[in-house]
Amino acid sequence: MNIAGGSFEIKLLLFAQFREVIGQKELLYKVTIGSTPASVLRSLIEEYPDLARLESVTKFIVNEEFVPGDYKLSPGDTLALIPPVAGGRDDSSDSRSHIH
Amino acid sequence: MIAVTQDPISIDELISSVSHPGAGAIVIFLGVVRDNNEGRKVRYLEYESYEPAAKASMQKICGFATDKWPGVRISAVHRVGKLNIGDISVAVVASAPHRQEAFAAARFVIDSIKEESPIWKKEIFEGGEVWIGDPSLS
Repeated sequence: MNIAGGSFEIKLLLFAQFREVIGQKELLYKVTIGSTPASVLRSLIEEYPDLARLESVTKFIVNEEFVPGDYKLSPGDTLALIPPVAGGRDDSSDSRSHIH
Repeated sequence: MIAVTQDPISIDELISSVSHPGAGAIVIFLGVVRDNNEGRKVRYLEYESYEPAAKASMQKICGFATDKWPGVRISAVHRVGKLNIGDISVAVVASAPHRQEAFAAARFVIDSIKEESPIWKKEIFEGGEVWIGDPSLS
């Protein structure tokens, strides 16, 4: 893929609050070399300040794998922004163990 | 069977998918749309998923459960789209030689799906709407 002028495109997938505020399910998004999921989220929040409340609670999936916020994005990556999931537990007991 | 679907969930199909001659217990958990939440009168819910990632997450959770409780077979289906009061939103069915493992595995799987799988729920209530889990709620 062509990396012209220090920038490239990724595919951004938007769900729930992100989809509603931005008004699209997916879009091609231009990023600079060295961009990370966290930096993409930051620049979206600059454009859409309503999303600021989600900054600290959003997780990231790149090419269908969870990645940390400082993951280095590459041309052609698909980045999904994952706002908090429904969660919701009926009581305080917890049968889970963490599996990622 | 692991699936995310727009269609009503068929319990019979899920039971068949985990039945086998060595299974002496089958536990069925159904999540059902309720008409109230935290004092709000719920009109309906809208579920949305990142489908491939949700399926992969559910697959991983069920795989973890079958490793943890050998002999258990599990199916899980989550419905998405608009769901009305009384509709089944999620079903987890676990078979095992004995009931203890079937209960434990079903409980683990539903708790983990709700906590981890990329599936979102918007509650449309009388007077407004809210994404469950949104920080503005807490």
